[in-house]
Amino acid sequence: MRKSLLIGVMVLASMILIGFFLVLINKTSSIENQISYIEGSYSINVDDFRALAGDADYVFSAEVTGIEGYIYKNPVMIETVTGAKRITTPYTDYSIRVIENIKGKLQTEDDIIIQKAGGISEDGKITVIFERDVLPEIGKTYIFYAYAQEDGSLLSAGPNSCLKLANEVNNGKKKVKAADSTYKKVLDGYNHQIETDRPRSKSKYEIDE
Amino acid sequence: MKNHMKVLCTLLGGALLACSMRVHASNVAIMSWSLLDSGKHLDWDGTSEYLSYFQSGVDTWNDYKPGVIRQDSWNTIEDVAISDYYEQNSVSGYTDKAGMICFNKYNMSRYSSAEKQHTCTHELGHALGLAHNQFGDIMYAELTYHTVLSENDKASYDASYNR
Ligand SMILES: [Zn+2]
Repeated sequence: MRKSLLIGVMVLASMILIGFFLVLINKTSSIENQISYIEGSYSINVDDFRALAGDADYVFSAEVTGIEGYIYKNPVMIETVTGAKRITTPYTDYSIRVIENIKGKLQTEDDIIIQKAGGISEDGKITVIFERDVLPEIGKTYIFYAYAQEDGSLLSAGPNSCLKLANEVNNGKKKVKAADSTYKKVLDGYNHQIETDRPRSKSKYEIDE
Repeated sequence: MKNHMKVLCTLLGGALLACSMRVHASNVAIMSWSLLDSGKHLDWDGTSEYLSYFQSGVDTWNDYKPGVIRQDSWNTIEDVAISDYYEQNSVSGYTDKAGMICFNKYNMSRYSSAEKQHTCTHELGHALGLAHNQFGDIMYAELTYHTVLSENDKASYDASYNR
């Protein structure tokens, strides 16, 4: 009698455990399904921090303060079984506060706007982002590799163009942890940057030395 | 003379062995998606300044598997639309699983013919379901002048096509 009770308890416990894992697996896969990764090809080695620094116009750490809006670019029409459908690539405008300029000098006193390739799709169903890139979260600190556009705006796009940092608070002011391994790699990459010869623009947020 | 034959045989044998080992050692890299339709075709439409390079890319893949990539016509459903855009950054081109291939004129306009063709062939590779692979492959993520399918590209295409 006792033995069968024990077996019963064990069977029940393992069923609960299996069920828990099934729910967990389901949950992770459904989260993954909501993100669609854009695949590209690149003019530089996007896994080399020296190349990332040398190709970008500005490298800096910044805290994300808000989302300013979504923009839908590169529209094309595609025929489907149910008729013509418009497809676009989402971009997101973020307001950020620069904490530390590493390459170039952008204003740190006021928020600036940076556009990132990626965001919520036009139909609102999925999040679209470049492979190995992240969409920044408000209140968190990131390294940005930014490119000035002809109109003076800033753009950050592609793998590793935005990297999350750990931060610490110093007298109420956010400061990047010097020991942060990503920050170290970024700084080292900048100190050994492989500069790219390409036509460059200047950001409207740049300040004089 | 006999010695020469021996050396030649050893070399030939070694080369054969190396070849077969290379085939077996192919690095297959595919994505979770492809734009191939249920009939295993990739029907493209749209326009680009780099259409001639794109066409060369289509020929490269179709030389390996004939008739898979086709220009969209009245009796087919389009699988991918191609277009151009302009943006200052490191992206040469990209493929989105929603059904689009876009070429960045900022970079493409500065590339050599071989580099343009590489980029077009590479993006078509993504549309066929291939993921990034090693240096020397069409599917290497960084710009190169390679325009010929490597063993890795072929093995990955087989894997994506036959799934
Ligand atoms: Zn790629």
